[in-house]
Amino acid sequence: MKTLFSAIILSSLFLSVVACKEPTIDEGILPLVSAATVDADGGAWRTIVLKSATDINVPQPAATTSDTYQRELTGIKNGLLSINPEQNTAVTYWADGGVRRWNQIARQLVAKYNLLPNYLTPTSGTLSSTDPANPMASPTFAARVYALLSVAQYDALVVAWRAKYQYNRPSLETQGVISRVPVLNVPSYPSEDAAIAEASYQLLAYVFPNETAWLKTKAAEHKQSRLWAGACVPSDVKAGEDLAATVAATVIDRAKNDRFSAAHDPNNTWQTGLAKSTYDVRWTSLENPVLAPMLPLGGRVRTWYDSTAVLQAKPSLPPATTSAEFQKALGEVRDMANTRTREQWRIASYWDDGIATYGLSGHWNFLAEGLIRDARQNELRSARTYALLNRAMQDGATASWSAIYTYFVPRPSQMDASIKTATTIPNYPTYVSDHATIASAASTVLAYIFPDQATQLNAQGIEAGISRLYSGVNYRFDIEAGANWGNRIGQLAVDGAKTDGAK
Amino acid sequence: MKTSLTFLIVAALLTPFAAKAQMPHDAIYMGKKQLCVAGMYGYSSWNQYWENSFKRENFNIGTLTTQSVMVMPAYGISKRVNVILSLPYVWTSASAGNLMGQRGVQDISAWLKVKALVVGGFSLHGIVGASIPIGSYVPDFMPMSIGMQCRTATARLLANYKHTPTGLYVTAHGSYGWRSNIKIDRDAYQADDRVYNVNQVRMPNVYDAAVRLGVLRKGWQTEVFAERSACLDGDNIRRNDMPFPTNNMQSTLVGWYGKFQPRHIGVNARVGYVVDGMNVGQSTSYTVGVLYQINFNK
Repeated sequence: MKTLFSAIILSSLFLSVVACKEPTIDEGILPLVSAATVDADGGAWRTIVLKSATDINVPQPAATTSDTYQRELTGIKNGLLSINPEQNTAVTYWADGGVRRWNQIARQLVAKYNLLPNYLTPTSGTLSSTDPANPMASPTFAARVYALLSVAQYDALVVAWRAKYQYNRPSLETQGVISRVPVLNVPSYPSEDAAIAEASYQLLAYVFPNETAWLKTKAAEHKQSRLWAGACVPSDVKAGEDLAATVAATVIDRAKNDRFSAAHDPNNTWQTGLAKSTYDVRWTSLENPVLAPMLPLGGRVRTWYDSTAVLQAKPSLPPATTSAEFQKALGEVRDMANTRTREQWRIASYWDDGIATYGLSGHWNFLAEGLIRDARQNELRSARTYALLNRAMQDGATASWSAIYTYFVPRPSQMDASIKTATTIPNYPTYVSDHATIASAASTVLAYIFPDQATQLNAQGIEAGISRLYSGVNYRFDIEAGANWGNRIGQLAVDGAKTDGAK
Repeated sequence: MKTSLTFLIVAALLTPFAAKAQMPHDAIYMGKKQLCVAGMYGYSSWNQYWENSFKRENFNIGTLTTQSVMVMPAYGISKRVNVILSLPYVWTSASAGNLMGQRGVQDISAWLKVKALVVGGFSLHGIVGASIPIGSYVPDFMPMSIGMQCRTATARLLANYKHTPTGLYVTAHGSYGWRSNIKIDRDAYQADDRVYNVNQVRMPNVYDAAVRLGVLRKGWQTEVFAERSACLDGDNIRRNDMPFPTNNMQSTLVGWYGKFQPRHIGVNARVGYVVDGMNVGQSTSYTVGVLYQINFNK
């Protein structure tokens, strides 16, 4: 009898051990793709912060017949034979696409900084203090990070493309180098990867100064990986780096003057704005202890598109809280909170993009990443897509912020404390929904760039907006007003895209 | 099984016998063809938690309360092999803030308990358990979530010494728990100081260890215990962040358990208090239960 029991126990334990294989996370390794086009006319595309690509002079490279160049080429050829596994990992990692990789890095940093810093907690003194070295990656901050990054990447790449076809230094492939990964068949000078790496590093280090050392390592690896890959020679890298440093300085200069640094409202002027609001009930913070609202002057940040066009679409005051229309809207939120289905909860979670995430604008960058990859866009075109998307989203954030701090409309849970939410309530007024504004601006832009996916993208844009009703943090009128405004802003971006030179 | 159960429950009502409700972490066994069904209610609350190792309050949560009702049948396949099942319904609420409490059926678990070795008052037991989520609750809406949506498998070794004349006993156990990956309703999440661009989350595996000292007599039982449970790895809640399923949750709990079951009907109660932890709430918990024993031999 005893042996039988021992057998049972042993076999049971054995089976459980077999089942105990440690699970891991498989993010999937997608195959490297070759770009669909080379866009030889890319140097003539309209730049964003630079007046034109001709603003920056890229020096003439040494001829391929020169000794200097030939030594570089031999170095690359010999290097290809002595790559170690770590170098090979770096080669593959960056070959997936420099623009996409740096976008992922930006999203990671936004998620890292998307927390209430200690200096903003009520126990540590003034609420509207700031620490530029340790910023809070709030929705408006995040949208700005992605916009600055992709604008710098795009302008640097337009300059690089112009120089490529101006000097026409042949690609290494045409000189008998068999690269380790697919390389875009464009002239190799200056290196587009070095331009992306330097521009991205500079911009991200500007917005996340505490990450400078880490970013610098990433940028160095990115540039180096292209030499290990056999994609270019050191003088290509140097030229890409130099031009991008100049472009980055120009973009950072714009960032320094875009009024974002005062968006946290150091003088607490928002209280004056609150007193001036003509809405019949005014917003108060639902945080305990009460926190100053997030970036009260975020609506004054310089826009990418014509500010008059962006801001003139500002919706008017929503119905007063005493109106039947408002009560109906509030009742809808209350009913939603009380009868929320699992599917509605899923949608609320999916689009929450709250604390500790890359934010809603980051979410759209994530979605764009898949579209860009599927469309096999080259680096220049990827940067253009992101720059169009992210400028529209930042303007959407700025626009909604301007309405939020004009009207100071209270959140549903302020009007009815029994309304419980499926996501945390953002600490700023409710009208208009920044979620709806950002999402519809994003879906409008992406639907233009990827017309085959337009139906799905528009549905996603609508879902992202309505998710805030599902979570119980916005009224339907917040979402509708935001979505309309976002569409208008997205349309401004589309109009610009139609004439920027890219076909 | 279910159809005969109703009949047998009725039959068993008439039959008094020595009662022995049991758990997956004790050395008590149901006799052959005996079934004990426990219906339990649990109440647990905390108003402070450890954010990493930093103990704090959160006035946007206030006191977080988790309540549950659970049905837990234990059946004796033989007097040395028992099967235990449990299925809880759980609901949560926060006393402050606006986060919606969750409620629903959580995970069903099954345990197989085997008395492998008996030498005098000493006994050694092997216990394996598994659980699977039943409800479709949201796993990453912490701390309001009622569970984590993962499948688990647990292997436990338990040693017991009982001094038969007095009923004094001491029990010690250690277990290793495997947890499956989970899926969340998002495209990406932050964990381990990076962003995972996937909706699948790796759950750290867990271990636990406990010692219990008590008296078990015919009809009643009383014991004090200390339990330590922790993840084998995982990340910590960052400053001012929300908890997440990947967190390395650790806790040390002390408590008391008692049971009074003079005949086939009995009651039990348990009190527990978390004295130390990481990435968990400092909860105080109470459980009361009603036990009902049925003898299928009759």
